[in-house]
Amino acid sequence: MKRHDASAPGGASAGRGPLQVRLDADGQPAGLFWQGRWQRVVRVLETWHDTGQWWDGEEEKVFYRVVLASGAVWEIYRSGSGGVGAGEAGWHLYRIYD
Amino acid sequence: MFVHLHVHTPFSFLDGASSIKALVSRAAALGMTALAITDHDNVSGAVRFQKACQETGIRPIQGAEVTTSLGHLTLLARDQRGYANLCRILTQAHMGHPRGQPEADLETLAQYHEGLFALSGCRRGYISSHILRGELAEAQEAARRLRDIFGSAHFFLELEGNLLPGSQSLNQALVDLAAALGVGVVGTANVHYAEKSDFPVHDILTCARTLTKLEDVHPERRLNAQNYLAPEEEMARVFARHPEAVANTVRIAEQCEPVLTLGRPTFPAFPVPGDETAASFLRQLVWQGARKRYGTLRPEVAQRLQKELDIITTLGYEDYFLLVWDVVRFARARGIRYSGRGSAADSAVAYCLGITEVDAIRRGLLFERFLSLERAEKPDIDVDFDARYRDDVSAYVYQKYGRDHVAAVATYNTFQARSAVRDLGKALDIPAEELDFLARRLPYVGADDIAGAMDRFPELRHSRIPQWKFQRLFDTARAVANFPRHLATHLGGLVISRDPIVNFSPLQMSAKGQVICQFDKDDVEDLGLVKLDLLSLRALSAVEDAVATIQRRRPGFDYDAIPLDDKATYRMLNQGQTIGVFQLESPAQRALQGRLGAENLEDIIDSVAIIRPGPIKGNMVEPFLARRRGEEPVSYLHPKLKPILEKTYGVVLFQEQVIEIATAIAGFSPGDADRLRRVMTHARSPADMAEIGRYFVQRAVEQGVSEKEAGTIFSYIAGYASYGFCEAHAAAFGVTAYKTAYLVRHYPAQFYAAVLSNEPMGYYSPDIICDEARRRGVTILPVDINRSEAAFTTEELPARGGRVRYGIRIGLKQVKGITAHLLLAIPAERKARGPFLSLADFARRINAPRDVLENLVACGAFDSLHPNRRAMLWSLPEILARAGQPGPGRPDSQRLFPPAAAPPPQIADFSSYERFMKEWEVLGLSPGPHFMAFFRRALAGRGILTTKEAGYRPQGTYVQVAGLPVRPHRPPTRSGRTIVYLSLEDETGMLDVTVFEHVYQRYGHILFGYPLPPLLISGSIEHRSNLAMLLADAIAPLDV
Repeated sequence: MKRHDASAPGGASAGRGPLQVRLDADGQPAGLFWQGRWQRVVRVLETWHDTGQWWDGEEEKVFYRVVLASGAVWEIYRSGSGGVGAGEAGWHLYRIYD
Repeated sequence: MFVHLHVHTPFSFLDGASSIKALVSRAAALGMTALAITDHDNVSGAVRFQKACQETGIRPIQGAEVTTSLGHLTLLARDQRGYANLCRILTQAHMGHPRGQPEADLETLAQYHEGLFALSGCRRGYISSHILRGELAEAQEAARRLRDIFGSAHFFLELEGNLLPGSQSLNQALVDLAAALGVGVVGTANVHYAEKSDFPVHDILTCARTLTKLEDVHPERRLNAQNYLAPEEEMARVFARHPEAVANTVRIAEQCEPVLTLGRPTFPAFPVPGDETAASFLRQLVWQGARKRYGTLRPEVAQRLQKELDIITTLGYEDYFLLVWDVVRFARARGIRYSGRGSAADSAVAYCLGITEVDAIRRGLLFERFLSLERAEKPDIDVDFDARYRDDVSAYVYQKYGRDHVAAVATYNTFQARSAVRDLGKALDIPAEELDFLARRLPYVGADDIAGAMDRFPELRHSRIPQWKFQRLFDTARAVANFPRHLATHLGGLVISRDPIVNFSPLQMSAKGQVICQFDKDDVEDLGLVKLDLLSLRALSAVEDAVATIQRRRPGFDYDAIPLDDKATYRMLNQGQTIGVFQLESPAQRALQGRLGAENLEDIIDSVAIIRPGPIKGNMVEPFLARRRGEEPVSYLHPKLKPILEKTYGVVLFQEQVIEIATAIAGFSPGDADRLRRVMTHARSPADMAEIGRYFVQRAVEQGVSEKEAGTIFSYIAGYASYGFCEAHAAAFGVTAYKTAYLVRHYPAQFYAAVLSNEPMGYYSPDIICDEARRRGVTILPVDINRSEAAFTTEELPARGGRVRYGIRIGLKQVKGITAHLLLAIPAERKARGPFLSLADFARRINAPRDVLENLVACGAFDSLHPNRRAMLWSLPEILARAGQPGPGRPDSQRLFPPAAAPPPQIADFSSYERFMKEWEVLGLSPGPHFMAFFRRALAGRGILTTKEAGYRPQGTYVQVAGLPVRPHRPPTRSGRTIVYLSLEDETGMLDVTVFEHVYQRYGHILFGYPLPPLLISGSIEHRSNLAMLLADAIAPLDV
């Protein structure tokens, strides 16, 4: 199982930064606010957890691969959710599949 | 409801980060009704798992994650047949493939599928891994084959609940596949630890297992911390899209019953002759043996034997006794020396069968300590054999009972402080030299006590090891303390079963090429199987060799007829001159002998028993000695103690006495007494002792004993609560101890040569044994290429004053680097073609590597041919170059070189000090002067005494003594404070040194540093009976 490298190329354009996320009743991402507008999430394809370099204090991240109403596939993650590490809570964009 | 069906314990060897107890407790706390364990290709955790589940009321499901030709499969036993089939599958997987690479083939799965559930396994399973690669056809074909083997009702596709990338699509694909094949799906978490917070420990263990560091990437490293024993709500959430996967865990669990029957003995049937039954044959043998041992049978002997036989046959143990009788009979017939030990010596039947040499009737030993109707515990007879032939005896057992019914018992190599530091420290990328520095200095403490040891032991405090840097290491070590690291072979334990062993345990090959079961001795006992301990005792090998050598000159010498009352032997013992004597040679024993003044075998037996943690911590040693010498009156706290403690002067020496006290004072039933014995010898937990103590006092008060007296009496028992000997065991050992003392006294050359040939054994290294032999007038003869055999031998020397003298010739085996082949080849070549005439001749006739030749020259093996060792080493390359010439040595081979070659340059030989140091480097000892002799003049000039001189100084004299330190050690003490005992050795003898706690705290880092240098110790002389000792005040490395 390869570890995530946030700067890894992947045939996709990647962006990082804080993200606003709206959750549904089950706690799953339902919408993302990006570059001035809300994008609706139509489907969560996959969810996984990643503890990262816990020995260096990195906190656990929860990843979601989502399909937006526009058809785009994005990967976002949430950290500071009480995983193995501890740290700042928040949503981040990890990868956009072109 | 949810049941975890795929769970790894520490018996997955560095792949399980929570103990079985922690896993079971966690499941119980979560309200789960059942739990499975599925370790990698073994069921080693099965017995402990079942016992832990019994305590918590959870149903245990036994299983394993099996490596098959179709990847990992999770197999669960539904019933006993299924468990037996699982054992057969695992046996085929191990025995049919190279060690460490088990793999079960599909034919075996098909042959032994009954009674099993099969789950398709984790991502590394064939089916899941092919789905992930998009190879759906292959996945379907494999699933179809497994369904056809196990049946659609018993084969499930395993959904993954670990929140890994691709899990959801994988699970959906598995659900679709299951529907297509008409099989079910089941959800698992592939558990490797109990709680999420245990993940770091698991990750570090994975690095240790894969020999990687935390910073490294490795496919076996888990991406997240989801492999824990999650509660059912969480599992329901994970499998929300597939609720049937959750429901099926319960359906499967409900169909699995506990498969192990614990505690019910199953004995192999002994093949008895003719119309006999096992009972009648046993009786016949016992009466025959009794006539040999006792001659005319007195009524009390006959009654005792009858009583023992009745108990044995009532409990159904006659086959077991016959089995052991047969094994020792075989040994006797082959001339293999043996000695029964342990509580079997409580049995007169065992004595009459020739299993032990202790007359239990004459010694008043209670048979009930060994076997009783109330306890109905299985007998456990251990027998020591001459170490060289123990495997022959073992081979006989295999041949007699069949390879399907005999297997060696396993043992688990577990994490202790040193192994934890090394293995885990590498994973944490701590530099190797720092780990080495720490590990070498760690005493033998548990892996959970490293941080405590850093505070307690001065050699660690002084080491300047920064604890903060190692905190993660210490914390992880604590978490894995006592976890098994790998399976190994128990030394000597064989399990013999009436039914095929594979009904109970898979079999696999050990590193030594033995077939072992997957359970250790405790598990084997819990399973009710018979275990026979065929132990190796090198002391018996030494005795055998010594006797053979003595008999060459005195054919009538009979070890078994050695008189037990030889005054010269007791005089020697009373002077503490016991180096080499079995069980009596440690400094503590030597000091004791000096004070005890042993006069008979009983005293020796008491000696063997008294220098043990039990009596020491119970503060029995001083009162025993004082009362035996008549310096203190013998008193009993309660009249009921008198008949129990009379023979040991009122103190508790033997385990049996503890049990008798509990019975007499507190009216303990045999069951209570057994619980006490277990707490004392196995559990040793302070909490358990305190609890049984309260029960003891309560019962004692009910019997009319005052609470205060009861409390004091229990404190004797509690103080004894570490390991002590049972009397029978002490008696068995005492006989060998006395007889080896006799050999030391009367045949020192023969006996010490035998000890040296059978090293490593005993307490002391070969150099100490040689020094002791010299002190007894035996000359140590150097290695000689034309006289040395492989082993140490004795040579008769020219008589002096009409007395025959012997020397010990150092054996070739002592030479560093010498191979087993050379040990055979050198004497054989001498015998075939005569002595070696020169180094060149040797090099032509024997193909020895250069380093071994150098070592032979350096240690003086060629001195009789070429006295100048330095010149020989200088010439060696040319000699070797010429050694390629064919044919036997030529007439001029007395010279190093043929006449045409130039002679070697004139070089001065090594100084005697240099020769000594080289001998020491090559042999680990020297035939020449003692190391300290080289510095004696300089030391004397500084007022530093020899050990002999110091020993003659009056009580209280302050002295300085220098010498080589011998085995500093810290035995347990009653107070819990540390006292270090060591000896200082020089050319005149040995002086025992005691280092009390306050001195130890200042200088302990020198005593337990590495390497250990010669020391200069200052302190005051104390005399105790016949022995002098030095109470250390200051310790320093010797500066010469």
